[in-house]
Amino acid sequence: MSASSGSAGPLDFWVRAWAFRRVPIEGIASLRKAPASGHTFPVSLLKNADEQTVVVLAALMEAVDRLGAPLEAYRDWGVLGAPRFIGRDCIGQAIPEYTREGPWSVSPHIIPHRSLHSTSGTITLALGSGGPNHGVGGGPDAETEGLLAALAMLGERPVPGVWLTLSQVTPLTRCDSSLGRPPDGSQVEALVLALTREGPGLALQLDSTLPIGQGAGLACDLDSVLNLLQQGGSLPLARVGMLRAA
Amino acid sequence: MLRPSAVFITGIGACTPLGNSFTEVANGLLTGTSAIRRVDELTQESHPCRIGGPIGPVPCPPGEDAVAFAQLSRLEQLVRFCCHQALRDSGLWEVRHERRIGIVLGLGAEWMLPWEQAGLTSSDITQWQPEVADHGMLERTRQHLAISGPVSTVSAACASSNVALAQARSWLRLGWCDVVLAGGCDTGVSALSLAAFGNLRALSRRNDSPATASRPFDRDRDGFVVGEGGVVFTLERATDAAARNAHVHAEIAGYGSTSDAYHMVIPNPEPGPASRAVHLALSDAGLNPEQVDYVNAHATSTPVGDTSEARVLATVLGEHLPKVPVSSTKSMTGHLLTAAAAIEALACIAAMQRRAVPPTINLDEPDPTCPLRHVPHEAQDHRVRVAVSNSFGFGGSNACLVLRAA
Repeated sequence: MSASSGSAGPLDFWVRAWAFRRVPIEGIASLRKAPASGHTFPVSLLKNADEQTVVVLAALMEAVDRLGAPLEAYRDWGVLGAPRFIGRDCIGQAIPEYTREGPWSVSPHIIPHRSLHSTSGTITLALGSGGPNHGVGGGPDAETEGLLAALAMLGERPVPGVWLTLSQVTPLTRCDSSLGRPPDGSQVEALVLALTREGPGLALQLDSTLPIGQGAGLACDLDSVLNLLQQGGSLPLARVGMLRAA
Repeated sequence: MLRPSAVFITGIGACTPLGNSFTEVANGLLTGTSAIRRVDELTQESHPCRIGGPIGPVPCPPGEDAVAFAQLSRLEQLVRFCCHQALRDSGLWEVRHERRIGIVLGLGAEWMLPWEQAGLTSSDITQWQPEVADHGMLERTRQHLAISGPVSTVSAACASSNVALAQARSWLRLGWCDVVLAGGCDTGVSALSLAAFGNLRALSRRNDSPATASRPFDRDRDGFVVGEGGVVFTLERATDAAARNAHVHAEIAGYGSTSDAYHMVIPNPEPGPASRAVHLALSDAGLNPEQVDYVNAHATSTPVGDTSEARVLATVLGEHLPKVPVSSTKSMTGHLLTAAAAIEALACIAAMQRRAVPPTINLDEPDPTCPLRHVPHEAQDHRVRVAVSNSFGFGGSNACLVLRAA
């Protein structure tokens, strides 16, 4: 039985804008207070947010500025957050503290702000977005799963566009349980894509007759998606048989 | 007559505090059985909430290596068991290599829970780096089951499983898969989870009376009770299911999703955004509010959340509100977090197949701010053709699923 027994033929998608930020961990504190010049947010928005969420919002507002429309234009867009290992350092700190000091030592912010759903939820607050939002991936396949989720949402649902955020801490060193954050020397990276079914922008075509999925060899990471965008778009997604430059 | 875009549920895998099969869970729900008990496994004494709805040992699926299975994290055991059972229930186990089968599960704590399990048992936290595996849990499961479609973990917190079912339906409609295993799994009755939710003041503190602690819509509710478990469904295009004469449990008829953009934890007191999700789901299913036969409410037993949802239902159902039975099965199972919507979809299917609406147990005195047609204490006979299942999550996610009897 072939996958083409479904209803879809080739689907065109457009990267209307994108932005990438790489921020040393030492720069997170100031970014947390003012993530984007020209935009004001309540201090409480990022006060307890994960470091990845902070950099995602900074990158997202750059992409918003490049598109040039007011925030209201994205009110019905979907928001998908695809972080890698979000909350890891916070959990790494919480475990020994729990063992040492008991349950009252565990931060109530872990679940709302350091979990897979946290990035997308925070972005909807920042944008005032009423479209769907959820987290996707969370581990080493986050970027692949994020792209699949974004294209499925655009292919099926009545959303005018999707913000897809890919983020990670690099390098992923051993956890320093005394910090509750990535150690000095770490970088926090975020790549944000504004995806739509209409151009203009960088066109990508999904051909549903081609193999899709890890089982068929699809694999991409943040760096490879960034390279694709910087080069104008043909690799690496074409290489793995999912997306081709249209 | 089959709609070309229809997607059917043709298999169910379940491992929950009420039992380890659809039949066992349906029996528990329709007899008003509480799965909530005192959690004795906590090593620290000062937990503000010491009750939950834990599962027992996860059964090793037939044909699996029991020793290798025992070495998996509890969450991965759940995923493995539920996917295995869902495929067998659909009759596709033996022919799984011939179809492109994907997996989409709501797993909000795919990494956190194994980190916690590893961290609390490790003597040297400085060496702690348990995420060094090449792939996530679902990719490992895909490889283990020898299936060939895409996999994806999704999380909209407590709305995760509805998101997973919707994404799975999309993958089928777009032709990316022939079959998708979709649902959710969570093992949230853990030390850190109980501590974190407890410190949020979200949990019931009726430690002396576990079975009566989860009491959605009741005037004396004081927070939710964490449950755990997994439910995974086998989804197929209706045309494919019909072609092989598959037993059909229900149709995934509609889905709607919105965001509150209000607060990361507190639901929007204005019913607009969540109501829009329910309207979108009904519209997607081609249904009007008067065609709804049953609502499985998200209602977790928190003072704010249940009242907000009652306002949402009043907005959506309007003059039909007094006619539509509404219940919260979390009163029996506890709140399965990212797996909650999956077990609640199962509850809707049970209502359709058994022609009875599961109750809200412990609903001794309905809160006047929640004026609904409740189903207190005991199941009620009722023909259910269309069921609405609401799920609302941290991050302001509202996800509504409409199920229709096949």
